[in-house]
Amino acid sequence: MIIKWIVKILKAINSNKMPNEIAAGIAMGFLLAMMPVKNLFWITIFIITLFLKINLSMQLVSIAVLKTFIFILDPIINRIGLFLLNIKFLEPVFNFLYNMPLMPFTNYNNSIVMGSFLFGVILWYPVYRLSIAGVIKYRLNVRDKIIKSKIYKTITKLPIIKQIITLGHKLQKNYSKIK
Amino acid sequence: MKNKIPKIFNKNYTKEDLERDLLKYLDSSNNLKFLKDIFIKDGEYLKLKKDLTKNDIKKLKNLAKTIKSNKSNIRKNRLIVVGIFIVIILLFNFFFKNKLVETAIEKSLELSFKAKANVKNVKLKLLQGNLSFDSLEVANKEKPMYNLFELGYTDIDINTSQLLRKKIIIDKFITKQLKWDTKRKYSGKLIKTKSETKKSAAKKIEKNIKQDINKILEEQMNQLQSPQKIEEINEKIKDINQKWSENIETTKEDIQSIKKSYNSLSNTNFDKIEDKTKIKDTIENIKTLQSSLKNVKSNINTMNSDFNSDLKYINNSRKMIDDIYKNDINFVKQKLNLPSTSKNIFKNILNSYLKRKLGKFYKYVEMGKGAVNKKKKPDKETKKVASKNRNGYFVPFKTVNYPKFLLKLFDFSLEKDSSSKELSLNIKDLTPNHKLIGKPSKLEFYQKERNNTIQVKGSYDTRENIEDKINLIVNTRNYPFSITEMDNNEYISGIKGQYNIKLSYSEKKEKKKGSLSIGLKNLLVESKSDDKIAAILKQILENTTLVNINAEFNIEDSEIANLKVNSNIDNQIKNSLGKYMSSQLGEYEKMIKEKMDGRLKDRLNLNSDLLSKNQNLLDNFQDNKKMLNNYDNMIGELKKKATKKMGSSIFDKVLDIFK
Repeated sequence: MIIKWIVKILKAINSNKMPNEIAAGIAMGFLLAMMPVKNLFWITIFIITLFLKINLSMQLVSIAVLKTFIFILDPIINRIGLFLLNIKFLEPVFNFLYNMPLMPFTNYNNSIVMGSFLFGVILWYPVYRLSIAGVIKYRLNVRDKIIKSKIYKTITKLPIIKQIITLGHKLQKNYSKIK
Repeated sequence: MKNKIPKIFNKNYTKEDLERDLLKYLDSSNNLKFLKDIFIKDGEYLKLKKDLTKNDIKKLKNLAKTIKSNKSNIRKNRLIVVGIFIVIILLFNFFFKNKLVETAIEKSLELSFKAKANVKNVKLKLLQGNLSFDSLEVANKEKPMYNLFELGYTDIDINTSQLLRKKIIIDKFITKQLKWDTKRKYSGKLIKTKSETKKSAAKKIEKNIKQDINKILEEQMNQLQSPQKIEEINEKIKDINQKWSENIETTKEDIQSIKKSYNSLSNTNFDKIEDKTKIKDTIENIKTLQSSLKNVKSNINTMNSDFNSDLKYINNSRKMIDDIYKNDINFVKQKLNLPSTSKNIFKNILNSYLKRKLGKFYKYVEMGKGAVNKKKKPDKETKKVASKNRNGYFVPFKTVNYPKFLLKLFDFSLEKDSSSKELSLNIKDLTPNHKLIGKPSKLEFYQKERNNTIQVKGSYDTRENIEDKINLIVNTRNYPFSITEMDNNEYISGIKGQYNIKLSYSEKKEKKKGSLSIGLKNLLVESKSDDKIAAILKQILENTTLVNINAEFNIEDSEIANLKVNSNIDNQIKNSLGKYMSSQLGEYEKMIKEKMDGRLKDRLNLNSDLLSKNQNLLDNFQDNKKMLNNYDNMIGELKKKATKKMGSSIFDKVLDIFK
């Protein structure tokens, strides 16, 4: 499964896939990794991403990778969340939301959920832009150099990598057949 | 060849259009270069080159796919799948949802009331939290051809936001055409229950009264004490008579011998006797006679005391026979099971009937409580203080904390129609958790039809610190009634008339009690038989203008306990039935006596004979005693004469004394 994801990511980066798709995957992955999972907010955002042209593999890998160390930011996120939830003039809004049918299931009144959502939304665009730039830069400057490099050629000759490449080709064929 | 080129490349593009429509969606520099090279300038527009190779066309096809896929930001395929799914849900919503809800309502009602339930045309609007149906009927478990209740059009509004928090908050419940005890087209029975036909005590009584007394006597003869006792007493009297006839005979013989001796001595002429020795001998003989008479007398005295004690026993024995005889008659009477408690007959009928009905009423109260408290789980209190979570703090906001179930208002009223019927039902704050809402549930029901009124008022509270848990008052006036299920007695099969009821029931912290006051008027009683008791009951009930029945009861271990029933006709029934029963008892007693006498005749006759014999013996004994006394006097006289003849010689006297 993980190998499949890696292949897909490598294929996406190296193919004609739009860099904004990959970048959106990374940015959404970042947002979802920031937020705690067990709430309606997270589930809703995740479901929305399924219908958008976002690189899902990149999004899932981003979530998996960022989740492992995103907790480092928890103290800051917690403070931001608490600050936001305790803003006096926003209290009527929060009260209104609290008494709405589905809103309590979003856990929006949780400091981490609120903080991480806010943090994630604010950082989403910078992450997106940076990711686009990164992908373009990679494709322009790095990809061809890597392909031409001796290390790449040696590595691709390794049995495991060969298998990965074969798998990549198979996937591509299946994909085009389905299409 | 040209036909195989994707359409998007067959158009004429300006430089800007090419950039906007095609190049923008490509990223690879090779691809961009290829596409820029393949389009050549033709006047104002850019067009595809004409000499395209197979490889070029193949590459164009791939690029067309890439551009197409990169153009849209939404994954249409997935959206279509979800769209189909939503359409399926909507179809289910339109065609099956209501049917499903209908079945669910019917099944749950059938489970609660153990009888058939039907709901028609259920409409459920999930998002609005609205449920409505055209009619609902729940059959009566006891009378399957009748409905326990029936509802017309009903509309319920539920707070969906609270429903998502697993709390049932009913904001509004409107229902029309509530009917009770309406006829059903088909039976509403779910499970067949075995009806136990218990023989009532009264039936047993009547059956036993009608039993042949002879048969009972025959069966119980071994249990009767009187025949054996009479025989015992007769035997003893026989022995006594035997003993005393012998004793009297012996005494008679002794008296005869004394008589003989006295006669021989009394013939002595003392005037002619001069010989002192002869006189002396005569005196000696008299003395001997005197001493033997003394012995007989002392024997007879001893006998007398024995005889008296035996006489005492004989006299007592008659009394003993009478007592045992009476006991035996009572014993037989008991076996006849004569209705000595018949004075409470109406009370018993009422007691049993009310116990059944009140038991049913209590079951409904419990059922109601059970329905409200079903699966009661403690409601979570509002979090006043932010609590630490694994991933942060939950900040609480103001919200109304509802219990798991709350029916804020149920208001139902029926407008006056041509039959001048008024009906209203009002329920407020119905919930299993009154602690959260801080007030009790209240119920008010009122119905008036012509002169008939029914009014129910009640409250229910589950708060622990509140003393009054349940208060219920039911008032009905001028309602016609017809009871045809009075199988708990042998006298009345049915009663028709009008009734007023005031039922009050309360559950305090530790006590459940209630009282019932029933006023019955215009009664028509249907007797079960031509029985005299039934006739008396019928007469009294029908002739009393207002029969007042008061009952008090407690609930212990979910059962009606200490049911005390009394009515204003109790004394009347008591007197009439008492009179009748005492005459009946007299008759029965007479019959028993006759039969017993027939059976004990020989023994009793023997006893009478023995007693008369005994009386004869007593007379004989008294005669003997009398005779002895006479002889004693006569001998004394004789002795005096002899002594006188002997003279008054001192010498002789001294000699006599000396001797």
